[in-house]
Amino acid sequence: MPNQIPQTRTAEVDGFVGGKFDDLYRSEYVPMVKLARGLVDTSERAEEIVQDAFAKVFERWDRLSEPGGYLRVSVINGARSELRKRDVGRRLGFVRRAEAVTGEPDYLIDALDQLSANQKTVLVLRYYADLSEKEIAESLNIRPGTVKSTASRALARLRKALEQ
Amino acid sequence: MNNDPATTQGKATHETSETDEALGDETLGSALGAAIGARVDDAVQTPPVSQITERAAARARARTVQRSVVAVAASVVLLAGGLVAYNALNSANDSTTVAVGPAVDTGTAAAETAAAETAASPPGEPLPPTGPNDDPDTAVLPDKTAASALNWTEDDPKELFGSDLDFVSGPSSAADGFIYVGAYDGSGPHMLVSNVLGDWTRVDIPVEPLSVDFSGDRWLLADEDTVGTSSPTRVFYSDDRGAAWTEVQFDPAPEGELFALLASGQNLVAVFVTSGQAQSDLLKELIASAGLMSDEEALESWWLQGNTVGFTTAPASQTYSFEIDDETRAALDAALELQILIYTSDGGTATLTGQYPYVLATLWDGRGSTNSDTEGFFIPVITPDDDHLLLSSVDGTTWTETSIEDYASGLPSGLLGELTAESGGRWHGDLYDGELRIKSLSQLNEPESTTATMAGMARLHHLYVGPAGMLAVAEPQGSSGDQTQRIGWSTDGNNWEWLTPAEAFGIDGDYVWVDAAVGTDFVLARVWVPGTSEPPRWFSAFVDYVS
Repeated sequence: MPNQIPQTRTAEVDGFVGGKFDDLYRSEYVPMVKLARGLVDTSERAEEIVQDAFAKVFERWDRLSEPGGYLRVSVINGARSELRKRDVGRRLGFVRRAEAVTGEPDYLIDALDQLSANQKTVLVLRYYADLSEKEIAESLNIRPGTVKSTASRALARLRKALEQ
Repeated sequence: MNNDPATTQGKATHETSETDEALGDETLGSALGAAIGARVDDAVQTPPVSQITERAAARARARTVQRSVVAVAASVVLLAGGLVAYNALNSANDSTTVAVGPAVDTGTAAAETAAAETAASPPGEPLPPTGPNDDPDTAVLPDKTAASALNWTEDDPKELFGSDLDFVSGPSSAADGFIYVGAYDGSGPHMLVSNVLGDWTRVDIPVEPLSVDFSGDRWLLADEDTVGTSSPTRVFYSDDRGAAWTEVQFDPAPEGELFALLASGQNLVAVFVTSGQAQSDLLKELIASAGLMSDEEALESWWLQGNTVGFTTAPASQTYSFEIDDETRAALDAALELQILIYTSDGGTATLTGQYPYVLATLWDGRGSTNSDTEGFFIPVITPDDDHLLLSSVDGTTWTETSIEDYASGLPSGLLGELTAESGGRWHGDLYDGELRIKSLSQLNEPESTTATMAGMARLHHLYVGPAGMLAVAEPQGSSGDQTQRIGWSTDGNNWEWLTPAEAFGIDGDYVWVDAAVGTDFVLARVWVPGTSEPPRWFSAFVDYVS
């Protein structure tokens, strides 16, 4: 049995961290939409995911000691769910990326979209959202070593896709 | 966000084939970050915060409607996401429940009670007659063409259900053309069952139902009150359409929480998911042994984020947090073992017939997606590697794992999990090239299966299926700029008549919550407007056909 629990309550939280829900909403809405947009294909879906995440935070507000962290995790979770659906649909030719149809070709983005949901998530969080491996590990509830190995495999696969 | 203009999307992409080998990980990563940043719209506007609160209110109301299912399904959503373990512990009995949001909207429940309280009761009717659509194979859709859009008529709930009821839940479709509502009065829970609109049979049931399924004369239900608690889940079946109920015994006793109860032929399957119980128990032990909580306090909730553990005590609702080391965190992670346990019974003792280290796929709103029909049992799952599988069994005793790659066409199990219709259980929807498509589960393996389409619709909110046809609640494609919800009706899946809430129900506004069930020749719907305190309104429509 691990026994490294401190013997006193070391970080009592009085009420909420960061003030009112409005403050969190106003400061984090746009960054969260941009984060989600890095993962999913359309701005509309990104906003949908973020609004759902804020609704969850709102519902749990009086129980969250770190609503900002919970919010980010909820956004990432929502986007990952979207990616999983897309993965499956794409393998069957159901889902196409909007930009691939209407926009200029972007080989790097196209290659990124060929990665699995997990690989894409790790790369986007690492290189677009600028999260550290530790932060990614916490957000995805995986070990830092898994983040590193996933990123390494993802980059290797990205290179291979770019070569084709 | 990385928006470094020095590594633009164009620059990164043009240097691909010749130089990629030489690119270091960080260089490639930076180029990738810039490319992503270049496609992100900087002109994002923050909508009014009221939009969020309305969304939260809608979610709460949805849970009120689906209160018999959501608690379990949401636990799977949280666990499947695996990102933040956030559990609320019932301080009264020290058993675990999963927090899915605020308590049931008592204002709404009270309003519903008031609406239902005044009605006249039709107790004592005979059991429902066996209808013309008892065979689900022939009862899914009629070979008819709808003459027009549904013509909805508002019903007085007291006339529709009876005056002695304290609460009537939203309608649901069972099998065989029957629909049912949960109903409660001072004497206990009931189901009102019908395959003829307004001709309800009141069935006394031993428990408030979590899950109900019909297979011919065999009806199943599980006890809602035991879900999310340490109490064993109680499952009952009746072979005489509810006249007498027999409790199913389990051996070995199931772990986790009941997620779904399925009937096919004379067999029943109970699907359990392990929860964070072991993890919760370990955490409680840690907190208690460290003296961080007095004997007078109970653990109300806890969460994990990295190596930080937070917890809230009851009754004071004080929140605390503390750091743990990597070893402790690893021990907590190890205690969170997600498994699906499948028990099967033919009426005798239910035995364990399947045990898988997967999570169940769920709907967008967290509801489950398991299915059963005359062909057997179907359980969509997601593996730890994000692969989507369909567990299926003809009789519930031997289970087959089918990868989506085995499907030549059709919707894969993962999409089934997230998009399946909650009523009827046999039709499923997906967005394909901006057009919603739906198809039958039983046709998944057929290369050229019938596919229904919903042209012009972008998002399917709900799909209710029964013998008379299909009722869809959907949202138009965003490009039209029209976000007003549409209520659609089709008897063949391809020809749809769409009405706005105002046209269908005379309710102004862009969005209404619709719970509906489709019977043999009618549709019954409970409708309310999220964000208001108005009680739900009931509407029904008969289906007219042209020959």
